[in-house]
Amino acid sequence: MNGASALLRLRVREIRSTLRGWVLPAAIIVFAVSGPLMALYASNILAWALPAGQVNIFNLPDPTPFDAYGQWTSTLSEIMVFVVIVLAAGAINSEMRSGVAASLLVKPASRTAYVLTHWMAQFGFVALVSMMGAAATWVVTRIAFGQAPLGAVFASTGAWLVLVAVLVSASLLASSAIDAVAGAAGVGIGVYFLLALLGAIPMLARYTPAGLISITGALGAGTPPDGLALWLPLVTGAALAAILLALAITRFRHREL
Amino acid sequence: MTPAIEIDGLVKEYGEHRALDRLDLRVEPGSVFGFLGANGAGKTTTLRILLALSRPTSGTARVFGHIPGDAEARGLVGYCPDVPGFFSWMTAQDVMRHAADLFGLPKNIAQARIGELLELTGLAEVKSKVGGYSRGMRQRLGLAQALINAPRLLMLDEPTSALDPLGRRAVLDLLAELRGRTTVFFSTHLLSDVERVCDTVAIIDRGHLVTQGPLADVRAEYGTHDGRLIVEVDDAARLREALSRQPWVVRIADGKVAGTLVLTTTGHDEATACLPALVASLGLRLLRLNPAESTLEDIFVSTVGVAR
Repeated sequence: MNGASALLRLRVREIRSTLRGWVLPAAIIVFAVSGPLMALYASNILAWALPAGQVNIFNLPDPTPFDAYGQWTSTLSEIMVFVVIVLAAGAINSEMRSGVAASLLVKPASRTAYVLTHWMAQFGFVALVSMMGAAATWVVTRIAFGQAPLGAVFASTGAWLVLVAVLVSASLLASSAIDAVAGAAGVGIGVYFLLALLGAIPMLARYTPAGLISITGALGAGTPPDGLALWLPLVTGAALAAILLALAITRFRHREL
Repeated sequence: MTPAIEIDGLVKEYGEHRALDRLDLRVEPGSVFGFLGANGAGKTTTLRILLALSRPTSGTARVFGHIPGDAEARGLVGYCPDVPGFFSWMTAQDVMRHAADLFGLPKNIAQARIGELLELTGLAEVKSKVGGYSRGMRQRLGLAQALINAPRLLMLDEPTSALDPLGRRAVLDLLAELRGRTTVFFSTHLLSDVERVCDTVAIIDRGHLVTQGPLADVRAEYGTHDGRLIVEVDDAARLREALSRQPWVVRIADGKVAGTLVLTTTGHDEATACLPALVASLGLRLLRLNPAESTLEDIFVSTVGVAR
């Protein structure tokens, strides 16, 4: 008995009982609903916002469902990643500081199960919420545009979830090694920006996890890269997430609580 | 019989600082064991190693023959730290249910124990979230959750440090009740608690064992009657005034029983010779004159304080 199932039940209850259980889904739904509407009315919004003479400077093409999906993938890559990193960065070190971790780990719960269940809860929650958001985006896009390809929005969200897996693992590793939440979050954000920077190098973007951010956008835009350029970043991203998670477990197993 | 706790040559170093210095300890099953030491003596470090929250630099520790942290060892142990950590969004019921879940207790047994233990610790009627609890309430909840698995070994770190007198009495009574059924190992510097419930004690100083054994044996070995007397007369105030002028009296304190005085003197023989004469010269009646037994505090001060 390593306590994994009991710990997982605890994590699920924690999500349901605390603010993030409804704040994050509510925020996601707001973004998911507003994204397609903003894409549809982008030219009207500009016309309203700009002085009368300048509206024609922007010759916007007619909006398409892929513009709505573009709003959604931007929300994921520019806002949600930071929420994910901050949540994961405080998961272990804050419980160590408060004495909760010690209280759990003197009972029949292994340290491996402790870290794994944190990962599963964080990733599972974000996966569920982001898929809900993808579904809401698809529904609103279909209503707003009269048509909406199903695959693109879910595929891009799926690719983004591989990036989330990497970032949750990296942030948990930092959380198990660094006592300050801000420090651990800094490491998670650093990993994200490193991936974004390396993604600017075409060779790395095609074959490594550095391509995950651009793949997310490309899938949402309905222009998926073909063959290996699609699958290699996904597979290597999943592998990197697994390696970072293994490192987080190893680090935590050697920590004094 | 396998000892509840067996520690051999335990060393724990934090950089240059040696928190435990070749500590040896043996706790017999069924005893209520007081683990005494001043702040920073190494009590909590020892507990943390026994709970696998910390690793020793060298030496060994065993819990009922198991390595600390083994699945078998975890199932046998209950632990309450001095400031227990809980999720602030939980209620006492939630904390207990989750603890029972971790130990894999069947629902009916868990429910019965939860009710019993919350009743025992005075938290049965408290419905608020743990985040709003006082330190004393947290400590009581910490004790309740430590008992959820009916542990064979209950380890407590300063279990009464945050309790009011009534809460303290309730906890000490509970620990005394556990004698024979559960081994209770608790660290404290509240010596009166130890005198009240413990049958065995160990005193550590700077990570090193000073003494260990049944409380009576430790008293016999380290206690001294030299120069300490309990005296009772029909007018303690007059005697106190007269005693304060005597060169052989070092200190005068009130005894536990009203009207008695506890004297610390320069020597037992001189005091027992002079005191009856002094009482007679004052025209008082001598009702009692006994050597005062050393308290655990005396022993603690003499064993730990001398080394400082």
